[in-house]
Amino acid sequence: MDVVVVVQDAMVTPASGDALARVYREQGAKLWRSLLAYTGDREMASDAMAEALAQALGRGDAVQSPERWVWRAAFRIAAGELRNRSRHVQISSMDSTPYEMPEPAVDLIRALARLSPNQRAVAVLHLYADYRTRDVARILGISQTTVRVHLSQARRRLRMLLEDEDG
Amino acid sequence: MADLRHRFAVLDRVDVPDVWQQVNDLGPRPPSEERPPTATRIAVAIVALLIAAAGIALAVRSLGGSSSPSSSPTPGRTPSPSSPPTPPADAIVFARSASDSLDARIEIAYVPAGGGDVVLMTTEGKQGWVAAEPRWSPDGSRIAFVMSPRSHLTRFAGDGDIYAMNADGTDIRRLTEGLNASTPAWSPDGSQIAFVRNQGRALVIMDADGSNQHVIARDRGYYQWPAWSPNGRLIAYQSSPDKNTEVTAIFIIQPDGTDDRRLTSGSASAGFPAWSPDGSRIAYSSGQLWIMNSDGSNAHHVTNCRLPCVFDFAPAWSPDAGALVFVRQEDGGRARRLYILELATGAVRSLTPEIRWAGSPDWRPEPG
Repeated sequence: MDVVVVVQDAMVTPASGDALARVYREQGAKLWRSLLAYTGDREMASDAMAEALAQALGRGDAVQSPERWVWRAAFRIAAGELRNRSRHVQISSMDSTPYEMPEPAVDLIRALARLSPNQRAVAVLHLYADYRTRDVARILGISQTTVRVHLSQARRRLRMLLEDEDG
Repeated sequence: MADLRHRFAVLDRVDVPDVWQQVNDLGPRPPSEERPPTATRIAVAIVALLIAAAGIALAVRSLGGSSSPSSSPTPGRTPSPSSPPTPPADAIVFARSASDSLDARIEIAYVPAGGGDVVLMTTEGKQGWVAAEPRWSPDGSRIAFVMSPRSHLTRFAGDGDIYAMNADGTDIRRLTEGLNASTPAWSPDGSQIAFVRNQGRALVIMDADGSNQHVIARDRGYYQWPAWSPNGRLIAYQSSPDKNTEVTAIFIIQPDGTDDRRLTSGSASAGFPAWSPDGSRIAYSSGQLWIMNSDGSNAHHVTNCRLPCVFDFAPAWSPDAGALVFVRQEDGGRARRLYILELATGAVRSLTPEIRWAGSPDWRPEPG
């Protein structure tokens, strides 16, 4: 299954719970908003983040770098969900207009939705979450060169899309 | 134009829900698809809960959330002194945004089925709460609904607590605790309420005062919109058939949790079931409105939703079974409006002006 992140020699102990609580406390808001920007869907963002944290809790000490692991798992889970959703007609999601979101954020998310998933992920992780391209590459499991290519394309496309709206 | 990083900074203004509660619901996940031994699971869950108990208060505070049960409105209090006028006999209650802004508060409102002004019934939104999913009690004297802090919402309806209030908006009482309930539905005798819990993971029944809560089903993917049959023997609901499927269908189940059956088939999602007053038919939504017999036979669509219409949903029957009120999503999904469909003629008339967000209409029953 493409949404499961495999960690070698994982143990089912909750020893990393403190570290995960800290990741949630310090990174939770940034991660959730990044996932929202990536998926365009509050529900999917919450589900991916919760699933990633729950998986990390289950892996315990096997997770050596909780922050990077959770970001990586959450984006992979969200990517899997996006692929699943694109194959189905979904009624419930059509009623999922967010109750509240600033209009500029809605505009940004609409613009992001017109990028490819990889361009979108790279743009969100670098331009919003502030990860260096090396770390973006690690989170997404792609090469740094590929990150730079996607980033360049994403920047160009976003400027065009957002300028259109400004105009 | 502004630097792209600056454009992304607007995301910092989006409210973040309390996902840690959802993590607790999931529990620690083992590294493979296999579940660990029960003893390990229990130990892991206990430690995780301890961690959560220690960390959640700080975590929620740091995220700007306010989802602890203690922050809920106090049960038994009354709303603001400026209570709305008593709704008329043909009042249709629904949830709506209080203004045209996308981040407007959501409140319970009513509009007469015969036409007239939309009247807001709650004012909780001013305090940062969202009130939605209103349902008339069978005698038309009370309204059950869901209320939640804005920051808690993660689903289209949003988990919250179930409340009930008098038809005139007074005597609001909280029936559940934990901010994990949604989509209430009264039993036909008014003694019980069915609802879903933990983001649709379980179908639950409780007494109308909130006591005696018990799960009747938890095996499917995402329970939503229970609706009690008029004779009280069945509950229709919307769910995906299993946890790995996203397409939803209409199911029926007995209130004791037995005889769970699927009524709709096919690849298109179906949802929002509503029993006709005599229990012989079920209206539902699958892109447009459909009606089928209560055994699933003779399904046929009764509205035609074409652009700029994108979605007809949330049907509710008139007490005389002659009409359906429903929500139509228009303008590419940017606006909604309540409509009434006269079943004899197929005529559709708009009941409200364009509203940024509207949902869950329910027609006031005739007093028994």
